[in-house]
Parts: sequence; structure tokens; C-alpha cells
Amino acid sequence: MPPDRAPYDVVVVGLGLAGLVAGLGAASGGARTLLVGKGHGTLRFRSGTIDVLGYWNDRSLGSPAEGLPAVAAERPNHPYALAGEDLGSGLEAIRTTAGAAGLDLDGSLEANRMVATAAGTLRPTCLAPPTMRADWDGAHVLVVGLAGYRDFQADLVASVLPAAGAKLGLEVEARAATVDLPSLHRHHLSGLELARLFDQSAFRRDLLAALRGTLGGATVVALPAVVGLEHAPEAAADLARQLGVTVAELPTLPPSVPGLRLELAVTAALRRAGARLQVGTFVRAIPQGGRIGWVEIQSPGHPLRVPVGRMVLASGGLASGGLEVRLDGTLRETVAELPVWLPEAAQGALVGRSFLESGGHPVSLAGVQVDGAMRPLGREGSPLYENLFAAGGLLAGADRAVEKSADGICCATGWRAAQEAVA
Amino acid sequence: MASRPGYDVLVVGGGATGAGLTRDLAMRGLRCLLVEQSDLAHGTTGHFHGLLHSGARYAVRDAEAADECIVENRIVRRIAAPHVEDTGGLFCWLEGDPDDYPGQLVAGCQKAGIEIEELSVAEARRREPLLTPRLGRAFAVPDATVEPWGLVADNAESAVDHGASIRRYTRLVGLGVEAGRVLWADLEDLGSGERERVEVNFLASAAGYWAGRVASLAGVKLQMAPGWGTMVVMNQRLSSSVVNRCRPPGDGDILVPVGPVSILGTTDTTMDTDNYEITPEEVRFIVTEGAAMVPAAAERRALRVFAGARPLYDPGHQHGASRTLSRSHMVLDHANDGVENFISIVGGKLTTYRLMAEHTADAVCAKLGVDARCRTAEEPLGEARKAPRHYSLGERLTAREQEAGGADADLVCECELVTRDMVREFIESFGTPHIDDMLRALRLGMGPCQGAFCTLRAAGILERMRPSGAAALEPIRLFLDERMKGDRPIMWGDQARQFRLNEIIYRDVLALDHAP
Amino acid sequence: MSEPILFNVDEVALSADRCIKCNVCNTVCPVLPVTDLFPGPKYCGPQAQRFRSGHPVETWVDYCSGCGACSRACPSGVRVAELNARARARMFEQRGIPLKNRLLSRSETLGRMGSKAAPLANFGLNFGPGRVVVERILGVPREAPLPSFSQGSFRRRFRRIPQPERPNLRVGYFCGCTTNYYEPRVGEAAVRVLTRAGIGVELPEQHCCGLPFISNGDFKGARKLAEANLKALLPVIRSGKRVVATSTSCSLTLKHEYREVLGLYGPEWEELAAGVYDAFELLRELAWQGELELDATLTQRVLYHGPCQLRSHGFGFPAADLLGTLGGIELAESGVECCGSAGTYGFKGDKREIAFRVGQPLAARAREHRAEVVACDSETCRWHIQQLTGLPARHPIELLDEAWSQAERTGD
Repeated sequence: MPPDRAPYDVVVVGLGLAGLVAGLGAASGGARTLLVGKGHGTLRFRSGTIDVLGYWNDRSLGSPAEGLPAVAAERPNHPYALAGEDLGSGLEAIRTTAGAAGLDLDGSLEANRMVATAAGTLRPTCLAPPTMRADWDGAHVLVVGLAGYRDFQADLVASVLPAAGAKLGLEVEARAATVDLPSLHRHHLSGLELARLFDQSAFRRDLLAALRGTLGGATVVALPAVVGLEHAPEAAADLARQLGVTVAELPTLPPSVPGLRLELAVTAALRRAGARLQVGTFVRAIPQGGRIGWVEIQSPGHPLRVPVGRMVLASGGLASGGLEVRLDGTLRETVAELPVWLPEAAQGALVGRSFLESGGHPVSLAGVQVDGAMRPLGREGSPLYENLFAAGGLLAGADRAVEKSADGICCATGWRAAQEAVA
Repeated sequence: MASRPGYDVLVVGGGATGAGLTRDLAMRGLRCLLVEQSDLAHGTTGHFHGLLHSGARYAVRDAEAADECIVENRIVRRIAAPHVEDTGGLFCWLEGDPDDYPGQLVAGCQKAGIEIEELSVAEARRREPLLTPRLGRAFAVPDATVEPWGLVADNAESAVDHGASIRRYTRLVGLGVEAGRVLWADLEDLGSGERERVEVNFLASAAGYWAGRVASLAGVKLQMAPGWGTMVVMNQRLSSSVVNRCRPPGDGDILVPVGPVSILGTTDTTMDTDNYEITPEEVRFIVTEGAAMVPAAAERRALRVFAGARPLYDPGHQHGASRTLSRSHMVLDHANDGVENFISIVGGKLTTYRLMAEHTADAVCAKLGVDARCRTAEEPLGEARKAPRHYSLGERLTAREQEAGGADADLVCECELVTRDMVREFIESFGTPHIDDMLRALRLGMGPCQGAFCTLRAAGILERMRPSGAAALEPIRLFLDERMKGDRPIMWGDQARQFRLNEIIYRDVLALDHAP
Repeated sequence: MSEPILFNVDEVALSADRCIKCNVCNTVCPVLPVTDLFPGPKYCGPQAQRFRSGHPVETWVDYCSGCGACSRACPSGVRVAELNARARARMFEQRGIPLKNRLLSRSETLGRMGSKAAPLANFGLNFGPGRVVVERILGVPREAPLPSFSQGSFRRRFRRIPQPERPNLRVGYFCGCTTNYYEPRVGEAAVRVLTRAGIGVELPEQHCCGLPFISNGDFKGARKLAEANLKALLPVIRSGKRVVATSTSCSLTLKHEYREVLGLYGPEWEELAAGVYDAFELLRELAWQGELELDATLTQRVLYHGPCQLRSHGFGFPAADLLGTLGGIELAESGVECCGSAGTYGFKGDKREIAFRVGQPLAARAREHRAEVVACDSETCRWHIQQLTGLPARHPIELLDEAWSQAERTGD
């Protein structure tokens, strides 16, 4: 049996964006908060932008606000249909927290902006760092590759970007240049090593010297999204000032430097707010009557049993391990063994034949169903536990890849879950 | 239409048999052209489980096949040593399996001259700790594994060294037959779309289960009964030797360790189609059966599935389970069908590819009146070749430690240790390849992440060397779709998780779904 | 042919399957950013693991410090650090263990020898020519922080500490080699704190946990010690007492490394693992149950560093949880995964420089907090931190002991 005195008011399981937003909501509301999870969440392999809603029914949306009513009307179990009202507050929580650490996130629900990517494509997003908000229309882009960095192929970007712009009615010119510097000759050169180099003014000086001759009439210099880790805003501002052009960061393969910046800013804020973060252990939620009685943290030897006041489950979707597919093709929720809803279309084959299946893969809509208070529902449609609230990637009803909505869902539902948990 | 000077023999099909046949003929002094509609070893050869049979599998029911296998097993070990791993094989009798089979197996092996030795259960378990507790008896046989892409590449290279020409991505689209003889062949370059006519003195079809279609171009009716076998690739080696179920041959009775992975096989479905669609049900069946021998198979990560078509010949036009059709090969002289200078080789198995080539070449030479002896059993392949061993990633790793000091910045495919230079060299020598060609040639994208990282990187290098402008993302899309075929039937556990990560990368982050 | 390193057969080895290459491990590895000699946990761990059967293990594995940050950060459950520890042992098996590693492993022997002649040993180890010899033989650079041997082992001092008359709980204390031979004061503080909390403490027979052997690749030596500890400690656990430790690296070895690195599986090993607790873990449990009030004050600026091995316990930061409730304390947490020392890693030749670079963020954090003292649950980390920061580094239980002693004095 676990100890009697609940040491925490709120236990958040999951350290991805939804868990962090829920943590912010709980800790800022004065709740003693524990965040615990097996490893880090998907912020470390996403863009570091906050994608809210880019597409609905295969239609490109000028703004998330434009599409939200349709989502609510057409798909009643979509997280936005249930927690859409808290979207603004959730976004604001992240924006304020990042801003306090010097990381601005610009944008609003009233407009989507196009972010250029390392594939040369343009993708709609809602909030993004200033370095991802270049104005592409009429831009002359110099795409800068860094010799030895395999995750950003400047030629590919320069080839695709103009066509991607044209598809949206934007006029973009692009050419590629690859810079080779002695400091890039390393055994290991991931985005993270580069970001640490960009933090150093000496490296930026060398880069600037190499770039000046190649600038030509470029109005935008496009770099991989690795421009600094601890001193990112300073590094980008320094480059832009010295070059006299806009510096754009293009998101690429994991590890995501912008995502990591955001995560570190939020976790530091959480610690300052008195929350306890614990990385590294699987967690099981143990029911006791009509509530979650305690969580069992799978520490080696013997589990650590932490009594639960309220619990927010934000363990993520398939990529994060919050959901898991069994050999027989059914899905399992891994922390509390909640029922997982699977759309009828997914009962034949979970995924389509094409990787980029238009309309998305059936399994994407699968997940845990919740009510408006984010309480997971049983098979009969009523809430299972009075003190359990779910948020983020494990929720049913959204195809995040197709809609470009993953981050917004985390913010809205994470915030709502926290509000319910501290109520 | 351009016309080219003729060849002594046009060989159709760039699998093991076709490449082996071209080599054999070239070594006998004949001028050969090999055409392959795709990449070398792209068909059945590249879609098999990697087993170099000892013959034990056939010893009970098909003495002829068993004899051939053990002889060829020894030859292939000798001539293609770099591509063979001497894993050894075990026949595992589990409680409940037919009591009389082990006795028949031992007798059959002894008759065929296949070394077989019964091991104690403890010894078998020491060799293979993951074997089931249901293990009752175990027999060691000289099974081995062979890596097909390297084998075919070496045969092709040796053929070229002996004067043969090889054309990949070239399809035979028409044959000129007059007065009972094939006179010319129309070939289409699938890259450029250009056609050309070549004069032909003799036509040898080693097109595997496409043999029927090649024959029909010459007006010959040849009924194939392709037997599709599905295999499941597991992410890690679950055994160090080949594990066979000690009972009459059936579905899901073998586990083959190949390089870093294990392959579970197989099924047998007769279906005359180019695009056999693997069902999740048959995959679950294979995994469950495999788990009877090695329980970890059900818990561990399945990496990919694939299916290969056994090129079985159906003289009686009967359909049904193809396991009952002969696995032995047959050389068909189409003089019997009214075309004098046309031979097809059908049936057979990879282990006996060399023998099939020899028998075919013997027949071709007899008809052409060429008096030359087969030398392929004595002369090793590619002694001078320096190309890396495809499957031996351990050696790649060791080499990287020595040469690169542990660097990884130059790895395009991290899972399979494919470097930037390897990709560049490949593009240099192969024009504008598909990323899927790099997979077969270099193993790029073949590892656990199934192309999550290397696809973008390889496409970038390709674009730098062979600019295609706005179409630069097309190779990525094609490769991801190709990978999807092998992923879709195993969408559970870690691979489902991997799939979602890959989707996050290429769809959520890189937005390839709205690519221009 | 024996297969002691467990390639490809157990749960830990097969966990390499779960790697989806997401790179999260590489974002937390403390060694990767400071040296080009280590290719990072993803490459060294699950990636290379697939290729090693039948091939020599690469020497770069030895640059993994074993801090375990990768295993904790992995969202998929790959036991990266454990795979590396086994690979290292296999590498030494193939290439021979260097003499310095063998000697550094023998903390128990070195300790027993040193303690009997403490002044001489201290002289020999900490001054001039002695250090040159140590550098040559042990590969411990002259400037590395070796502790002083204590005069009189903890076991002898233990008997002098009074026990509670009617304990509400009895435990067996696993003090570890360093407490016994180098830092008896930590053990004394622990026993005073535990007895004040109403816990009866006994000191069962015990041996070096074996961690130094494991991290220097000598699994055979480590298994011998593991067996000896099992024999000594199981009776304690079976008599209904918990085994309590103050060194989080010793306790992690008993709970985790025996099984997951050495592959010692079986119900008796599980029983041992289940019965071992960290002292603060136990105290926090009592506090959560309302059976312990920490009514005391400590007016100090303290930086708490939860060492890497403590993090792998997965029970959070019980020492910080309790220290945080003391009156007057200005407590900040380091927020870094590893100080660089990671057991004896930071003591070995070229690793020293790496360990020092890894430790820089911790040192910066201490300056930023204007800390007067650094609290840390692991001994080798404390020695390293002392050099890094120039601040005293103490076990948190010493601080709690101090706070309580003050409270008692002012209460008198």
C-alpha cells in the first residue's frame, strides 16, 4: 500500500508538450506538482513551432480560427471540439513562458504563417520563433548548407523552395551555397553540436566571413534550424545584423534544436515554480475504487508508490509510447490501461498503402476518448475515474500529421486538463 | 529504331540464375548480353530468406533435391566465400511433432551424404539460448546463409570480365521470330524510354516466374505457377545458426540468421500476379509459428516483410498448393514448341543457381555446337574484387573504427553504416539511381528506422549531383512508398512506433504531403 | 565457450530493438558535447549492438561514462548504458583489461590496506612523488582528487553510536567501502539521523558492491562480490529488515547492475533488489506517512546535485525533498545530469579532462547560486565536485545531521 499523505496535489505523467503545459497550468495555480515520464517527449523531434491547424478536409487554412468551427461541428470527438475554448490560454501559457526565457513565439490564432522546411516545402504554423517567420514572397533566398552536416541539404532546399512558393502564389528565388569551415570538421556533427557552435561568437565570425562574398542580392539567408541553443536569439540577431538580411531557420531531422530550446525554457520555469520533474521511469496508474489511487513509478528493485490527488495523463501517442499496437492489431494505452477507440476504417488495416496517404492513415484517429473535462471515457461513454484527466497525443479524434495540429492540441488539452485538475 | 550488332546469346533476367548463366556462357567464350528489367537481384533472388540449403530440408521427400543441394552447398561455399556465412543449421523437434520424422531425417541425410549429428538438448540450448523449452531433440546439419546481392553482383562482374554486357532497367518488349528462329529482340531502356533492336543468335530465358511472359513474346506457351513465399525480417539475430522445424516441410518452419537480422519464413501461396499483397494474417501466422521454435520471435521487433515468387513450372496446369510442385529445375528446349534457338530455365532454388546455370549453358552450347567445358564450379568468383561485403556490418563497423576513428558525421544511413562517399560513388557509376537501388547495392535504408533519416540525406546528395529541380522530392516519396510495402503488414509494436516517428519527420515537420 | 556478457539473449540486450533512432539520447549525453572520441549513445549503444555478434567491440565504448542519462532519457525503453557496460566488458575480455583498471577496481582491498596505515597511505597518495607513482600505475592523474584514508574504519566507530531503545523499525546499513575506509563521518551522520528518526540500525556483514569492477570491465570479479553480498544481505532482508544505503551508486548496483548488467537473474536477486533502500528514500516515505517531522533549521546556501546513479533509481530526489523542508536553507538544484565523474570514470587517464569539461555547467550553477556547500549522494562525485567548484561537497545526510544536532543543542 502507498503512503497516506499525498505529497503532490497533481501528478502529471508525460514530459512532452501536453505534460509541460499541464504542469505549467497546475504549478502556476499553486498546486504541488510532480511531472514524471519515461524519457523526453516529442518536442525534441518536432519543429519547435506551435502548429495549431493548417488543413481541414484537405483545404489549406489561412488561420486556425477559420477552421476551428468546422472541426467542432464535423468531428465531435476532436480534441478541439472538446477543449477548443482553452486553446488561447494554452498557447498563451507557452508563449509567456518561452518569452520569459528570451524565446519569442510570434503569431496568433488569426493567421497561419508559412515556415520553410529542410525539404524546401512551406508548411503552415501558428506560433513560431522570429527566425521562422520570414516573408517568402519576393524573397531572394541564399540557402546555406554547412559542410559535413548531413541533415540539411542546401541544394535540395534551393531546388524545391521556388516551386513550393509558386504553388502558394508566392514568388521565391533560391540558390544554394555550402560553407566549409575548419570548426565543422568533426567526428560528430548533429544539429546540437552545430547549435553549440552557433552559440560562440568566434564561429559566427568565421561563418560571416565565409558568407559575405556569396551573398549577392540575397534578401534572406536560410540556415538549418540550429542557430544557437543557449544563446539562440542573440546568435540569430547577430548574424542578421552583420549580414544585413533576414536570417531564416529551417526545421529539419531530429534532434530538434528549436524544440529543445523550448523544452528547456519550460522545464526551467516549472522548476522555478516549484514543480518536481522526474525523467526516466515507466509509470503505471493504479485504480482504487472510482479513482486513481496512486501511481507506481517503476524504479529498479521495488516500485515507488506515489499517492495521487489528481492526475493528468499526457503520455503521448504512438511515437511516444503512450499508445502501443499489439500483435493482433488492437491498441493499448500503456499507463492506465484505458480503453482505446479505433475508428472503423482502421479495423481492416491500420495504415494505408502509400506513406503519404491522402486523407491520412486510419490509425491516426485512434486514441483515448474524453469528455469536455478531459476525463477518459469507458466503453459505455461515461468517465472512468473522477481524478484522472488526459491530454495531448494520446487523445482520439485528430489526425495531427494531416491537420498540422499536434502542438495546438497539446496546448489546449494540457491547459484544460490542468484547470480541471486544480479545480 | 537503332540496331546493334548481334550477340551469341541474349540472356533475359538478372537474378542469380541469369547472372550465373551469363558468367558460365561468357567463360565458355560466348558473347552474351544480359538484360534485366529492374536492378540485378531485384526479383526472387533478392526476396528469399538467405538459406544456403544443406539439403536436409529435402532429405525425407526429395532425394534428388537433397543430393543437388549438398553438392552445390559445398561448391558455393568455395566459389563465393565472401558471401557465405557458415552458421550451421539445427533441426529442432518439439514435443508434439511427428515421432517418426527425426528417424526419417537422419536416414535421408545419411543417404544423401549430408553430415547430420544429434545434439543433446543441453548442447543445443547452449548454442541457441533462445530456443523453446519444448525442444525435445536437435540435429546439426551443414546449413549456411548466403547474401544474394553480393553473389549476383560478383557473378555479373565476372561475366563482364569475360566479355559479357549487362543492361539494367532494360526490358525485353518484343521478339522477332521467323521460320522457327528468334532473329532479333526489341529492348526498351526504362530510364530514357528509348528502344533499340538487337540481333540475336540464341535466346536464354532465366526470367524466373516471368518466364511465361518472355516465352509468349516468342509465341511459346509456358505455364508458370508462381508460389509466393512471405518472410518476416526480425531486427536482431535471434539465433546464431539456421533453425529448422524437425517435421515435414510446412509454413513457418524456418528461422535464418542473416547478417545482423533474422528472417522468419515462410508461406506458400500460388498466385499469378506481379504484386502479391502480404496480409497481416499470414505475417501473424509466420511469427506465431516461428515463436514455437524461438519464443522471442513473438516479442521482438519485426523490421519488414517481403514476399518472393518461387519460379515453379506447372506442366500440368494444375493449381493449388505449390509445395507439391517440384523444387528441382528444368531446362526447357523450345524447339519442341517450334522455336529452334530458345531455351528457358524454370524451377530451382538459389542454392543450386550455379548448377541450373551449368545445365542451361550445357544445353545452349550443345545447340550452338560449341564445345567448351563448364568451369564455374572450380573458379572462385571475384577474387580481385574489393567491394565491401554487403551483409557483414560487423566488418563495416570495425573498418570504421580503424579508418574513421569513430566518426559518424559522414554516415548517410546510420543503421547500416553507409557513408556519404559510398553514396556518391554509387551515383557516379549508376547514373540517376532510385534510392531503392542504393538499398540493394549499399543496404541504405534497410535497418530498423526504415529510411527515417537516410532518405532525406540521400535525396539531397542525389540532387546535388544530378539536379532535377522541383522534382527533387520525388525520390523520397518513391522510397518511402516502397518501404511502406514492407512495413504495412507488420504495423505493431516498435515498428508502429517507428512509423509514427517517420510520419512526424516527413509529414508533420517536412510537410511532404504538400510538396510541389 | 562461455557467454558471460549476454549478447542477444536477455531483456536488456533485446531492448536495443526498441530504438527508433529519435536521437533523444544524444541530446542528453554529457560526454558527447565535450569530446570527439565518443560517438554518442545512439551509435555506441543500440546501433552498434546489432553488428557486434562475432566481431570485436570497438574501443570507443570505453569513453561512455556509464552515467545512464541515455537510458533515462530514452522514450522507448532502450537500456543504452547497460548495453554499453556489457560491451565494455566484452571489449576488455577480447583485448585484456589494463592493469590500472584492475587496480582501481579494488576499492575494498586498497581501503583495507590504506586504513591500517592511514597516515602513511595518505602521504603516499596525496603528496609529491607518491602521486607520480599513483599516476603511473593506476593511471590516476596527479591532480585527480583522491580521498584520504581514514584512521579507524567506520565499523569500529559504529559501535559507539547509541541506538533507540524502542525502535519502530529496524534496518541493516550498507555503508559501502568509501564510508568504511575513507569517510566514516558520512556513516556516523547516517546512523545518527536514522536512530533519531526512531530506526534501529545494525551493520551486517557486507562487501564492496562491485561497481568499480563493473565499470572497469571485470565482470568476473564483480560477480564474486555480488554472490558474497547476496549471501550476507538476504538473511537481513528475510528477517523483515530493509537494507539501507547512503551511497546511491552502491545501492543502485545491488538493485540494478547485478541483474541488468551482470545478468544475475533469479528470485533471490529480485528479493535482494526489492529489499534495498536509499536512506533518504526511507526517510521520505516516513515523512509522507506522517511519521517523521523534520523540524530543524540550516542557514546555508546549498546546491544539491542529484548524481547520475541516483537518477537511475527512478525515485526522484528524496534528499532534496527533505532538505527543502528545513528552515533557513537556500536550496537550489543543479539541474545537470552528471558532474562528469560517474564512478571512477573521471579518475582514469585521459578521461580526467573529459570529466572536468562535463562538470563545467555544474560549477557554473554553483557560482550562480553563490553556494556555500554542494550536497551530493555519491562519494566519487563529491570528490570531483570539490575540485570542480572549490567548495566543500558533502553527503546530504551530513547536512541533515548537522541541522538536527543544532536543533538539539538549541533545544537543550
